[in-house]
Amino acid sequence: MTGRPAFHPYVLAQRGTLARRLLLGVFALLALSFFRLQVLGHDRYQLRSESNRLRPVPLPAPRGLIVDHRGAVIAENVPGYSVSLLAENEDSLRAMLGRLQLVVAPREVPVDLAVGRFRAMPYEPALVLKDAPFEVVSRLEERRPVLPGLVIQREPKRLYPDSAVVAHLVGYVGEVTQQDLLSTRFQSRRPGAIIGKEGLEREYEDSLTGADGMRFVEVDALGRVVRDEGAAASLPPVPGRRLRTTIDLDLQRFVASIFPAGRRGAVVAMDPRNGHILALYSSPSYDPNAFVGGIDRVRWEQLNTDDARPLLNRAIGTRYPPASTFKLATATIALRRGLVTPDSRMPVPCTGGLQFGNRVFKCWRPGGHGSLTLQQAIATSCDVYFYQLGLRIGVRALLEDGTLLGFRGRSGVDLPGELNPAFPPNIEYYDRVYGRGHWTSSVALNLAIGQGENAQTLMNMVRFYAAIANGGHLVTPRIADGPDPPGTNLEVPATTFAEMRRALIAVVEQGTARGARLASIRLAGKTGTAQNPHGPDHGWFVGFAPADTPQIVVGGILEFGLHGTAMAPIVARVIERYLLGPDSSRGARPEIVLWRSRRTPPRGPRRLTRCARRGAPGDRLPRLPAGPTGEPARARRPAPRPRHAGAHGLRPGHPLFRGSDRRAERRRLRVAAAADLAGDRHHGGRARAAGVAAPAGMGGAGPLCRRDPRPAHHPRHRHGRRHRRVLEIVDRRRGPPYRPAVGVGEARRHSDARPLPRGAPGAAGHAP
Amino acid sequence: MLARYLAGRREPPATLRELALPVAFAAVPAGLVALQPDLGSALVFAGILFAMLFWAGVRIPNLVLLASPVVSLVLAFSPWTWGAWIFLLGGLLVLWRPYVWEGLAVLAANVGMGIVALPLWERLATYQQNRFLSFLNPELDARATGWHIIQSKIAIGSGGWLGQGFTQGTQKRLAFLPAQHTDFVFSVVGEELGLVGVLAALALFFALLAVLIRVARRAPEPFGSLVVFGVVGLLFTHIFENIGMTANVMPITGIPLPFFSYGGSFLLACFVGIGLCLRISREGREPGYREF
Repeated sequence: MTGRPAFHPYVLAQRGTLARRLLLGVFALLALSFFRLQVLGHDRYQLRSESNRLRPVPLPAPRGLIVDHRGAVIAENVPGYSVSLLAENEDSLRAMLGRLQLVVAPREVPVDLAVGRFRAMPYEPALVLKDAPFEVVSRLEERRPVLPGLVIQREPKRLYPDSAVVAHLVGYVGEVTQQDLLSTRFQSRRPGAIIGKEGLEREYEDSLTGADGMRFVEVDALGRVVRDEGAAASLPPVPGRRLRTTIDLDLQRFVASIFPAGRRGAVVAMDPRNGHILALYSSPSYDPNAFVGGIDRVRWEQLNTDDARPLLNRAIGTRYPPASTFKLATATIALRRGLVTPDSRMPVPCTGGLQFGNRVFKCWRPGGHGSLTLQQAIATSCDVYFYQLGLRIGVRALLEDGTLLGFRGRSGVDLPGELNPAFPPNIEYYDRVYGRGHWTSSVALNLAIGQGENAQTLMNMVRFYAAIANGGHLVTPRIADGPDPPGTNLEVPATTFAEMRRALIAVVEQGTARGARLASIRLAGKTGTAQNPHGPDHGWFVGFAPADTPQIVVGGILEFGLHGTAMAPIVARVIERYLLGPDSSRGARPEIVLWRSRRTPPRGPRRLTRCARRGAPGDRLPRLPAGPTGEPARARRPAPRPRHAGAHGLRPGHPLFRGSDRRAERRRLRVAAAADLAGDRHHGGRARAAGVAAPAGMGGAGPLCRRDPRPAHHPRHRHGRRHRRVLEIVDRRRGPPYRPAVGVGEARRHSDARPLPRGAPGAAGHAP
Repeated sequence: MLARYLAGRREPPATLRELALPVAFAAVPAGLVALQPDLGSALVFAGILFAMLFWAGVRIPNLVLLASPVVSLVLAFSPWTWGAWIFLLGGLLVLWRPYVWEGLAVLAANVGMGIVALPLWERLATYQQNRFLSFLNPELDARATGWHIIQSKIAIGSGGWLGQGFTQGTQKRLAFLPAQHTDFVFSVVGEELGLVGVLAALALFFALLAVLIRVARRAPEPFGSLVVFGVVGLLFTHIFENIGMTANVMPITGIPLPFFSYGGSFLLACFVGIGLCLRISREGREPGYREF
């Protein structure tokens, strides 16, 4: 503080040294901090630098193809373009969306959806247009400078070339929903991914879906795409695995073409030896292509609110009382337990009804069948015989063995949405439902003929008949090619099934399915008519061929078919087509014709006498040429005489005019095509009859005379005298074959179909 | 002016009271600048002031006591640290034994600063507040105020040992690093030239400052010496603040880097300062010690 000059060189030197040292220290500190950043933290910062500038863009993987067993394509992929936007924040995204709306029609651009997707994953491109046509894409590419975050990708989209024919088989695909993303199954998928929603697409989703790849685009600080390709290594997508099915696509198409358009029902064709499904068709159908890329809301509403429920797979998703088809099971149970032999007769012959307690249980044939052996009873489907058989077996045994035969379990086919059949598990069920002591063994009567608390899916019945066909092995139906799952062996001796087969042959040869006889193949099968308390009865038919060594079993159900015999010719043609190839169907040329009557059938015994009124030309029944059933030919129908319009309102020139007005009150209409069914304005509300005869052999049910026009019907219909429809399918040779067109995406409504109450169809009927 | 004053004195200011005038010299322009507001440049004034005071011979304890209120202000954000600082200050006062009144004044100033800290903080504009907060934790507001620091660190860190190559830096090229040609130019150096380049630049700066110190030592008269050291202080403050800012060692202020940052006026000022030093160095090369 004293004396020392402030700027003495020595002092200055000291200060200089101090300053230098301080400087060195500070710079060392800085150098150290840089070292820490650049060497120690290099990898971390390198990574962040990359993540700054690179944005991942997923490369969608194509879905696996679905092919039939010969390799024909059922579901494939075609290229489509998707448009996405990369944005830094929501505002820039909205600005870009606004500019996008100038190029694409504004209502096509889902702004809220895109913003939602952006919020969910802000560093990935937000999908705006799922499936843009090429010209939109090219227009957007032109405007790339105004849409800096534009990312256009080739995305494979699904195509079903056969559309409605395979709809219920393959199902459809759709975008994964928010709820799905939250579930464990789909949580690793990205929003906007395509998953299968129904059918095979859903069942085999895991193998059909490939693995998405990834590529990187380089962006700058404002989110503009600077470099589209090659910014970093990309991960190629892994395509999905091809799914090979056991389906025969040719047969599937054939089934779809001959199933009457506008009718509800299903057909299942299966190989009884291994359970391979050859065809599965449900009507009405829909167009699965409509779902690709997101289904139009209007169409979705239409499909969902349609009374015919086209989205419902009637082969596995609905239950119907098996009716007479169950008689085989009853017979099997009885034979297995040694209660009867194929030649046994029952104490009470069939005279049209059986008295049990204080009621009469009627047979479908009011005149009765007389005394029958078991084989004959199966062939003619005599209810009275089976009532007695059921009583003999007893309720408990029926239920036990029914469970053993597989009527309580699902068939196990690899399609989602299969319903569990309804079948009482044990006697206690009845105690629970009706109360102890409030039910009698009359339930056995109903069960024996397949009514009562018994409702089966078509697939289940086909499986049972396959077991009859292959000698006692309950196969598990399978659509996807692969190792056959084990079935269950029914502990029933093979001879029993051989006897069953003989009986089933008789059904076709002489019994209720005579109309389905094939010229060159031995067909065995059983008809069934399921009572429907809410409307007309449903018709079953399950058959297999060749009868001795069956290669195919086909089952069909026709809602409101009223008779199993209605379904039989369709099934027969399917089998014929499969076994004899496409040429067979061209040669035989039968025509499927639907006709309908509005008259209520009167009750009482049928007159079986031949009509005495003959003579006048035109009064005679039209005679048919020899049909495929081998019936004797009848004379051709004479040309219609010009008449004034009769009570039916048809003028002579009208294509449906048949015969004279004297038969007006007994005339039945012949409806020749689906168009008539759909928009039946001519014939609404009036009782009319057309004179078309069924070939002899519709269970002996066709009218033999004009004056006796009552059709075969089940006397146990409960509709009283209200008008109802009688629907038959008649095989006739009449010009070009009938080709009903299946509506694409729409269901044809039967104009008179009543909307069924909840629970129908196929709701298990209760004990009468 | 400061040099003139300090050189004119026979003895350096010894007490805090005597320091008042030089401080005022610096405080007036600093205050004006600070009201602009440009806190960064005001800090430069403080840096120059302290450098020149040091070079003029003010004793270190006095310098520390002079700087103590600022330290108190900075540490006032947490009662514990502030309390610790006051305690330490008390210890230092006892150790160094300045004049009693001056000691008390310092203490009062510190306490006052501590009290005033909170209202002062709230009077600060939001961006100035955010700057300090982001300095401590850049991730706090990663997309706005922390963005600079984070991007700068990413840029520097991704340089590694050798950098990404001259003009090849991705952060710079893709505009992730803002102000890359002005305030954050050293991040570019770090990204493109790596640690090697950074060390080379630091070495060059150090060499420059060391040479200037030598010039200051050899200056024939105190005035020139002080001027040169003032320039040293100026350059050092800028260098330390800017490079520290890019590495998240110092809070962000808008201080350019001498001879690196793009911006003509500061470059000119630097060169003027260098020119002055050259003039003074030329005089110093002449042998002989001149009486003053």
